[in-house]
Amino acid sequence: MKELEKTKRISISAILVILALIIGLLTMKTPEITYVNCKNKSLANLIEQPIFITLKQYKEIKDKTVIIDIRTAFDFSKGHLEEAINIPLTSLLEKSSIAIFDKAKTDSITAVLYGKSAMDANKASTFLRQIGYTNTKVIAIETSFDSYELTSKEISPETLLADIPSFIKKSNERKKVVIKKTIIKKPKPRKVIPIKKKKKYESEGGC
Amino acid sequence: MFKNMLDKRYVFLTVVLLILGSGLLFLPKQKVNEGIDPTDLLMNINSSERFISTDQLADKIISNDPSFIVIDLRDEDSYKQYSILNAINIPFKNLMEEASINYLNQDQYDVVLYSNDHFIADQAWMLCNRLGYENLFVLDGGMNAWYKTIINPMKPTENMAMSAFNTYDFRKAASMYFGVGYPEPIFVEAKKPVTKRKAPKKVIPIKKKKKYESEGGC
Repeated sequence: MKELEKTKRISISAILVILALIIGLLTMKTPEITYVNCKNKSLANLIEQPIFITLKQYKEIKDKTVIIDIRTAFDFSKGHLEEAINIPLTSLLEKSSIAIFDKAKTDSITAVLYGKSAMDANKASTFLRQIGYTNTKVIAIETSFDSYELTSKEISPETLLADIPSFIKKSNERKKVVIKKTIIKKPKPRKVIPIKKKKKYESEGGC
Repeated sequence: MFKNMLDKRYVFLTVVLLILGSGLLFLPKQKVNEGIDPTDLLMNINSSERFISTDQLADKIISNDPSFIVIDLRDEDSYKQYSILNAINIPFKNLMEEASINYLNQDQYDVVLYSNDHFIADQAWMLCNRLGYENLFVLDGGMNAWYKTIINPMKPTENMAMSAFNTYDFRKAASMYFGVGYPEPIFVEAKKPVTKRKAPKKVIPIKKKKKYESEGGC
């Protein structure tokens, strides 16, 4: 009798423990999307694999890419590049878009992004790389919608377009030249009008 | 008899603890998020509050605003060649070093990041924002915009709005502050003495000699 009671207690407590564990496991919140790389790794990734590729580089790897348009659905409906998939910047974390990136990652395909400006695509790519999709690149183009046609203009990101110190130097040289010119103009001799002194006539001799 | 019961209780307790402990083994590995939640980061990325225009930055520098620092994210060579006045050089590859984090993770100053364009600066901003650093800004357009607007501003054409002329005046004054020379003002100053001023003719009054009556001689 006593033995039976004991085994009952043990089995009940064991079941309770297992139940508690199962409930704990179910309710434990695991964030769906997390950063995969730590800060140093994602920084190294950004440096080693620059985000931007030129249009030429893109054409070389065209077979192994999927083009993603990150503009709004409205802009996308007006016109887009061939075979582009629309994932607006604001809905990058939605399940459908994550699935596309996941598929690209498992097939080792590069996801090439483009947007209204290279800046928008840059934002999206940097963000995606931090949540683990390091296979994202951005084409260095700027798109605009002119006369019912999507036109793109190539840009060269992060290149200094002007030599600033030499410009400043030149501008200061220009300044000096002008001064010289005016100096030449300046001297204008005044006309000296000689004033002839009148000869004092000696008073004509009187007596 | 009593002793025996105690032993059994201990055995029971150890068994329970063992079960609990083995349960821990099967817990899924909890992913640790380094930084703010990704959804928050995506929201921050989409707001454009972080951009500061070149005009605003120039105004801050000229008025000697003590509440901000400027950080140059380009490599050392281009920093030495030309940088914005009083900028600190932190090459992008050294962004996460401890010495640089002291500049980025603080709440005393506003920090303005810039590179040749705004792409690298924006990437740096995103990394920092993910880690929860505040008071960071990105110079819109970077060094190229700085050159186009502040160092070498475009002269507005006559049919442009009045505001274009006002900004041009500001930018021109700012560029002079940053060492650019303009030929015009000096030209005007130097020209002044050249203006022909006819020297007034001296009028020499010719006194008519009074004809002295010839003093009577003999």
